[in-house]
Amino acid sequence: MSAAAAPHLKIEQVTKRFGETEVLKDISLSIPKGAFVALLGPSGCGKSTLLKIIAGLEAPSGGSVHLGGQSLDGVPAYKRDIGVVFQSYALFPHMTVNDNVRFGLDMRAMPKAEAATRVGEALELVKLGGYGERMPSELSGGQQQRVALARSLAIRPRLLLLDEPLSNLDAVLRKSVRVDIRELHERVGATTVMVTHDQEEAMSMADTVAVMAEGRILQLGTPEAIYERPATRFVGGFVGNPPASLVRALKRFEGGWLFGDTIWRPEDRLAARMDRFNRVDLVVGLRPERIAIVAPDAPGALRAEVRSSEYLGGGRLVHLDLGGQKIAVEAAGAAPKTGTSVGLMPDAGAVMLFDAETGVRLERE
Amino acid sequence: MNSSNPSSKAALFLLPAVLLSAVVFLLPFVWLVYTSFKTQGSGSLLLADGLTLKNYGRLLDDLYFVQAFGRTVWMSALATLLCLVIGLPVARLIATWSGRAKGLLLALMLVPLVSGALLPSLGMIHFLGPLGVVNGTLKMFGLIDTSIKFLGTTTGVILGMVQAFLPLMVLPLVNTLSRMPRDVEAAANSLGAAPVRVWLRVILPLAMPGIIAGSVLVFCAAFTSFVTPQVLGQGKIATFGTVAYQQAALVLDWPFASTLAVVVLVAIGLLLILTAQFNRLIARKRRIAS
Repeated sequence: MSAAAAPHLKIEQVTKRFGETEVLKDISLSIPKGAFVALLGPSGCGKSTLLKIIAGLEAPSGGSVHLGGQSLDGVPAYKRDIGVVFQSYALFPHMTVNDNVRFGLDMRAMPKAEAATRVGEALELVKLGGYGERMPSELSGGQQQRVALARSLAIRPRLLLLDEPLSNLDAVLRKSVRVDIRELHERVGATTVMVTHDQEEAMSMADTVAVMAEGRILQLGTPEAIYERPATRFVGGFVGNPPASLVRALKRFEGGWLFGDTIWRPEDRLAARMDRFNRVDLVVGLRPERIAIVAPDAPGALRAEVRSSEYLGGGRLVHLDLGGQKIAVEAAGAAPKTGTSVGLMPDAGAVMLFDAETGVRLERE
Repeated sequence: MNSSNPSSKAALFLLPAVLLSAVVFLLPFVWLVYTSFKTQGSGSLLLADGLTLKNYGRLLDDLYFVQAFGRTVWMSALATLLCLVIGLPVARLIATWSGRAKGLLLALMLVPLVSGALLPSLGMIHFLGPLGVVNGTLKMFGLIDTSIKFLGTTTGVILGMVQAFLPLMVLPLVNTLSRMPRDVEAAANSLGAAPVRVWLRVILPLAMPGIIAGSVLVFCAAFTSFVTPQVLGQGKIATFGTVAYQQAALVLDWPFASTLAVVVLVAIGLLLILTAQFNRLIARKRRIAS
């Protein structure tokens, strides 16, 4: 994000209350033109509400939204030129595919011939040329979704909003549509905001991810930054597939940390990092793919007991018990036997340290 | 013989119901049609021998009956239209509400249906009468000096029909509006459709099955109604229902009353066939590309 470019979409201190419950708490977000931003969070975090506020389908309780330098306060949804693809697709069941895609153009009183060309282009764009005369009920879920995309793109929106665009598709289709939407974005270049609860979707499709929880944006950054340097333990435990394990460590002595009944003496550099903050306790974030299984008495290793393991095709996800806390490790090769003790050697560079009280990451680069 | 065949056993259980329907519904109906082709001997209530079209001829000859038929048609049509205009926003409101409020509103809508025709009509007398609520309110605000005559006029009867049969419009409308696919209104809105256009292009077309069902129900109920025109028309407004009643209960010309009943039944039958055809046309248009 270049600091010089004025943001295309600017959300400032937006709040939303439904009665007593505060769904959005002071959301601020700037999105440059042409960006693809994912609002990522668990259900109930307010991401869909934020999308509706941007679309004008819901009014904020406070704050403001600007698009292309203009305030959208009091501008009704039908005057915003914002395309929305709904989770349910929301195609008009009584209209053909052509009529669905032309709907927005009819509303703008576009001449018939021009509108027909535009409809054809939009359907070609989503690879549905020749489907114009069908009714929505005659299309598969994936095709319906592409019609919904074409319908939103036909109006050449100033902003494209996608509400959980993949959640109604089966697992196989989901992966291919993910790529399709990303490619479409590269070609059309429409500034896009997508809402999703699936971190894999967010990380693979968007160039900026905003992780939300409980009505706040916890972290905004590139997928790499979110993954490598999560700002809070929540983000670390939410992002990644499988997500990072978060374990609480109590300081026993200089260079010695206690997990339940297991003492861990990390290798010197890591021990120095952990001691640096003068905390009696820390939350340690460990990525399952950045831990090696070693002998239980190897120096610098954590001692843990194998509980179960899942076969994932490329490898295995081993679930272990670390002094009463849960930890997961990705391992290649044969599954270690349940109940055996093993040593876990974390890659020191990938160990994340969080404040045990606030959950905030302690080392900020 | 396989006596344990489950479907033949089930049929046996249905027999009493079938017999009952035949005796209390089909037989009187056949008798009604039969009677309409008979005459009574002069000064007698007994049916004369031989079948005749005389009753049907009389119906067409006498302007009184033709006019009553026409009057019933336009009054019912107007009542249907008013029910639709009032019913749409009400149904929309009920459909968008949820939980207790929705149940309460629906229950309120059902009151006129379950309380019979007479009580609401009597209530309407007090509502529309010269010293009633409507006239009183209009006078209070100085909008009129002398009472508007509702009772014994077509206006009063139509208002009564609207009041009595509005639920028949609202219930099917609530049904279709509640089942509107999610987010289509929001989608239309985001594509640039102002609220009025959302109604015209999306809500009304999708509510069409409910509109048709409700309209047919209200029209048929109004067309065949007797109590409402009788009570609110105060004997001055002849509709097909009141005329048939006069012939059957006062004049005691049962064959002719049967003829009137058959005409109403045939008219409603035709209307239902037309509606079915229209519904099929819409369904086909929606399935196959226009």
